[in-house]
Amino acid sequence: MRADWTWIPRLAVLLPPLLRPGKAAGILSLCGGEALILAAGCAAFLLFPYRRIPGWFPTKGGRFGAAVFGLLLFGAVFAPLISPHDPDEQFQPSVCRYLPPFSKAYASADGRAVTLTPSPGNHAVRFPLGTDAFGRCIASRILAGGRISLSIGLLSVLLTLVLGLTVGCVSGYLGGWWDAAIMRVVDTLLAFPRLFLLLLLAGILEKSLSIFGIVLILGGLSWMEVARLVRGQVLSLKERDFITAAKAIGASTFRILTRHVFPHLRGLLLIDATLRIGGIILTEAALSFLGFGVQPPHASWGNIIADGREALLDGWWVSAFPGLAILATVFSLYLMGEGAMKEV
Amino acid sequence: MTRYVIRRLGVSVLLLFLILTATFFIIHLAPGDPSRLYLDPSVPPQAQARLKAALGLDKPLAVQYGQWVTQMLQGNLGVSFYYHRGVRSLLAETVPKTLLLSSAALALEFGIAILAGMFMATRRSRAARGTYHGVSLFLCSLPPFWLGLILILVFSYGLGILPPAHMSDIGMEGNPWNVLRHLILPALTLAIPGAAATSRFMFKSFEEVLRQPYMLTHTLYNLPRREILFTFGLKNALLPMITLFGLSLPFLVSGALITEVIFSWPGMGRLAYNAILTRDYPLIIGASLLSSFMVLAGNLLADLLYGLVDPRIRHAR
Repeated sequence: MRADWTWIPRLAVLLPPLLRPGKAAGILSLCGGEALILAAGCAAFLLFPYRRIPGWFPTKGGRFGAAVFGLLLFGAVFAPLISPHDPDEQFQPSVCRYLPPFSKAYASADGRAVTLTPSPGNHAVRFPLGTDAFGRCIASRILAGGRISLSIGLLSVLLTLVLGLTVGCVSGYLGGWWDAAIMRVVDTLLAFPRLFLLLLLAGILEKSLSIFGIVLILGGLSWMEVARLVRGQVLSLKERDFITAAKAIGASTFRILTRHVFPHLRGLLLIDATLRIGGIILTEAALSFLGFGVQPPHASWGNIIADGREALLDGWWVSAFPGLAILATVFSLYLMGEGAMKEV
Repeated sequence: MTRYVIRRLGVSVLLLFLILTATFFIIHLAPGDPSRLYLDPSVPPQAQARLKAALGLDKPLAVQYGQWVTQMLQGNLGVSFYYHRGVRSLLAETVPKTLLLSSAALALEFGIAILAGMFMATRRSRAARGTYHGVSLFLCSLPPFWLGLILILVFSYGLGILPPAHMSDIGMEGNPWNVLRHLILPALTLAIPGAAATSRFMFKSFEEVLRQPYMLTHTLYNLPRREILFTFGLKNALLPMITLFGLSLPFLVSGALITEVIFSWPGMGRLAYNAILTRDYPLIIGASLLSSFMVLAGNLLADLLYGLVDPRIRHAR
């Protein structure tokens, strides 16, 4: 059996918190809702028995993708520890408006008066990726936005998988009328123009939409393809001998589905989910960019880009860096999924 | 075959009706109503009620639905709340502009994808293939709206060679050269990520074709390599492209929405976006009628074309 080296890229996710061990007190601020979701995502990423699924992370690209995604994931979870400033803190806008990347300002001891030249008693404030129109630190906002964008991606994919798996199993295994009825519903939903429906739902519910509302909309509109995929697999699995054997010893339908059918679907679903999170993160970013998704007091990658759109000339960095974060996330996920697909 | 087409058409019309009904109820059952959006909150409630009556929103939902269905069946799409003009004339005005943008993008996308996929599939070296896989995946992951902003930044603000917005300069409307200059950036924004994804399909399909015994036969006949690749290889490898092309038909009317918003392109996507922002019910329904029609037509066309091109599928039916 080939040695399993996949744990090495996965360990990369532990790096960010190790870089700033001194700020352990900041961990208290991790108790927000999205931190829990992200932590669960990380736990799954670290502990999932990838070895039992043939060929997960077998290629160089796959391992590279896993390392990049791991860094992004843990960067998001430990954002309060590693971000240079509070993402919502506005440094004196008259001075700190649209500071370019790598710039430095000097703040007095109480943090009120900020100047661009050093004077005695002032301490340096660094903005590694520059500031936006309100003098907020872009690096901190990207880290904070990553928490929200990644949580939405993970939760939506989870919802998509649960819905798609349930519907697909029921439809494929029970067959007959159930199958016909369910597949007609799936066909109808697939015929909806998706982006338009998303915009419509998000736009109409705009004010009353929380992060979970966005998850419901995104997940609720993308499970159909998973259901089709699962149904196809179940249709061929249920003719196999081990299912007949399970039926012969009197196993219930539920037991057959969970114990005998599901393990065969796991690898496929994992790959599908990996490729799907990328698409969902892109969709969420587009929604937030248009002003229909995550609403302004919260930062998300999409709405930081929208902030910078109005002032592309004054501060290109406001739009450029969150876009790179989205690009890195989606690219790393595609690399992982692609690497796994090669073997299966 | 004819019976199959008729049945599919019937199902499609039914689906279209279902989708529009769902859209109708989604927008009417959502909290809030447009009359509040168009008036200052300080306007007396009587005036609000009058506006509501004028827009036809004061009747029970079932009555409104009945009226809407009758109008629909007569081919009347209603009058836009916001623009005070017929929805049909608004759509007729904007759809050609969207079609111009998206068909340019689609042509660019499939052109680049077919050539790139074919070229890369004939490469043997590991380095070339690895680079292609990496680069194409990277381009697939580009967020389209961000790509648009970066292109504006580089080509309009940085180099100053292409205009950043609108369809033509003031006073230059209808000048094809001017429109073409405005078309380049939005079309590239739409085409680049799409071309990367499509070229991966083309790559796989062409690789498959190269492995077929008939390709070897032609090689053994000592035909020129170019002729083998283009006449025998390309034709067979284009088969999956047809499905992809059919599936990207809805893109023609609704895919350009975000790009139109970024580049202030006066097309249907931007109109639909504004309609959602202003709760313009008739316009929302008109736009969703058009986009769901394209989805259904695209699916149908892809299936039919596939049957026409590949006799094996035709006979299987």
